[in-house]
Amino acid sequence: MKEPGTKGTTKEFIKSVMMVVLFLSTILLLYVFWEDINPGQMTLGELTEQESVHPLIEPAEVLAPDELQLSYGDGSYGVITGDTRSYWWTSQDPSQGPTFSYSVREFFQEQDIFVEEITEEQYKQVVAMESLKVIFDEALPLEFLCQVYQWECPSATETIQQVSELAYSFGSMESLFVRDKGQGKYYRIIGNGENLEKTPFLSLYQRTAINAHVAYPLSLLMGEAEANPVLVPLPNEFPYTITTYTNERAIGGEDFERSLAKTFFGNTFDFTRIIQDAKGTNTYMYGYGQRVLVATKDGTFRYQEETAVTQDVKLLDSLEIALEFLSKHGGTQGASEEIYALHLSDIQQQASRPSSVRFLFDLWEKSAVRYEGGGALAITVVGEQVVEFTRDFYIPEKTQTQPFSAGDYTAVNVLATNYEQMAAVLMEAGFFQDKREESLSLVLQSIQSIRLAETRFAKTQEGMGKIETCWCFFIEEDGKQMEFYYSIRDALPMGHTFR
Amino acid sequence: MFYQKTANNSISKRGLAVLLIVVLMFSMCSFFSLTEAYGAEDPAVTVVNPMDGSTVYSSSLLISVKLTAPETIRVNLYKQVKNDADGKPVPLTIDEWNKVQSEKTAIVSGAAIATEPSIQVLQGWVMDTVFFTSTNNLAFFTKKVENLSGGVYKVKIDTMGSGDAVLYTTEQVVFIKEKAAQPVQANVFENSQTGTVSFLQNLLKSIFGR
Repeated sequence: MKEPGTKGTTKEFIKSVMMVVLFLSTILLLYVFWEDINPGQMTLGELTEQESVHPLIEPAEVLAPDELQLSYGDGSYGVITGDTRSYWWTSQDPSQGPTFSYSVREFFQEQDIFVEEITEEQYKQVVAMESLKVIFDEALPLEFLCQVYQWECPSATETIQQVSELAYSFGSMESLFVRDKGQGKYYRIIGNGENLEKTPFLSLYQRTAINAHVAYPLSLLMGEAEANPVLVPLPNEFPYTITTYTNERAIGGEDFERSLAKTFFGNTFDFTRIIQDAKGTNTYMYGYGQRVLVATKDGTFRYQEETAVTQDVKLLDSLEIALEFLSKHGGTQGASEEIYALHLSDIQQQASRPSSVRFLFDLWEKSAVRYEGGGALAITVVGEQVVEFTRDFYIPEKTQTQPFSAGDYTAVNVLATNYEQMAAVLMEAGFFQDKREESLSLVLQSIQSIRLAETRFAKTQEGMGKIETCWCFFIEEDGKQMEFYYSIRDALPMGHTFR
Repeated sequence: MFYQKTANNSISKRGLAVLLIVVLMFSMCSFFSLTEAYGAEDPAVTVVNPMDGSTVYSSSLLISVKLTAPETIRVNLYKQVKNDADGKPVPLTIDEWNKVQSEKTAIVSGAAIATEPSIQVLQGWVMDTVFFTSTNNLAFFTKKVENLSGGVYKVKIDTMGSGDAVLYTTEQVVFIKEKAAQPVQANVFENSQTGTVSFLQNLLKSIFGR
């Protein structure tokens, strides 16, 4: 038998539930209306998440040497200029064999490490023996590398400021060798070990030798007295790739642009002015320009914000701040959902207070993809604040890869064909002032590297272009740097850019 | 007239004798010359590597040729061999090569009675012939030849004319030895500070700053 009033209680309960549902629905619809969300595309995740956060990239993931050189000790050499990363560092245990950074970490675990400065001649002699060397185009502080890769660098290494080259020679197995190109200094870091069987560098050397391209010094190939000893790859065959690309804005459209813009303006997005011009540029501006995002038609996104009061931070902290900022603002996921790896290609530090560092990144697809004129990502960190962020990712469309033989268009012949054009461009750009030598000598003296490189060539106004394997010559003179690109198919100039 | 005729005869006889001597000397020089050149060397061709008469301690050899004119060259690498008692080709040793060169020098200078060296040197095949054409006033032919055993090798570069005509020939001899035979280098860090001194120096630096 039912209690009196039970039916009424149930009715009241149902009414209450309906009231709650209606109340919640009202809130939800208000939110949808307020945020201008298309209900058809709405997911529960979007309702709960304030800002999309992409996986945080560790500093160790964005660093890799630009070139890996092997000396076979008989006057012949090997080089790896593409996938140097797999020989340098891996996030997992080095199951396929030790990496260079792992081997250095093992080295630094020894006791009684001391450092001595050596001469350039000694350095050249010892690395001419069977050795393994990594080259960083952009020198990095040793302290920074020690922090990033957990090398237990002893206080003795504090004398070493920058690392342009790091080498291990089987001619002096108890040592590591460092070149600080900026200071023009060479160091020998001496440990205890001298056991060939135990050093992880041995298996690394063997693994690297299998995949390295044959290379010889420029001086040996050209015979010019002035030619410098930079290594020139002489590959029999290599993969030649040509890819057409478009940009993120062209693929992702307005949805991608808005979602990226929202990450910069957050809750203030509704108070952000959007100015659209006839050329297709959208400018998002908050306040009187405290925060501005400019999205251009060619797919470049440039964000700037006013510098607030901030304090000095170390280089590694600046890099971590930059990478954290990236993870909150689009990450490395492109508009077509692919996830890119990054390669830190340039660090521009300003001697100011608070610290100001501009990091330039290339995208990494099997190897770093160099940009003609700029980079894929640039982040400027002043103190603890990111004040500038430029994102210019490409979206590959059609790729063709084929094995290619350099044939007669070796790097040396590309140089022989184009040195006059190179010299003319360099002189116009202010290189070789007051120098009276012949063009060939001037060019040969200033070559810093010759590599096969994947290069993203300048895009059209619509943000399209091509990425192609080409010969890349890196020239440096009195601190000025320029890169030249030449076709591997016909040795013709393809472009050049300041670095 | 007669006098003139006699004089002419004597001049022509003398001239003929001089000419014969010149031709004889030229042909002997050509035949026994140390470089064994088949013709004059091409001024537009320079063998950058290997250097003539150099020793390479490696199983590979880089051939680098510089061309300063638009032309076609034919590049060959031969191993210097001789026939053994059974008539089989065997590599010429460096000592044997040096002996042959000494004998040739002696023959040319007239110090030796023999008219040809005691060992007949043959050209052993090493690699396929390579043709390279330059269309500029500066070009380089480069090739790495691998898996070479010890011995005496000759790089031969022919400058090609129309058809199969050889206009010039340039040759370089190189001695290949095993890498293990390389003379032991003096210790690079012989004059470096001792470990203890460096260690103490580093210790002091770390205590008192740089």
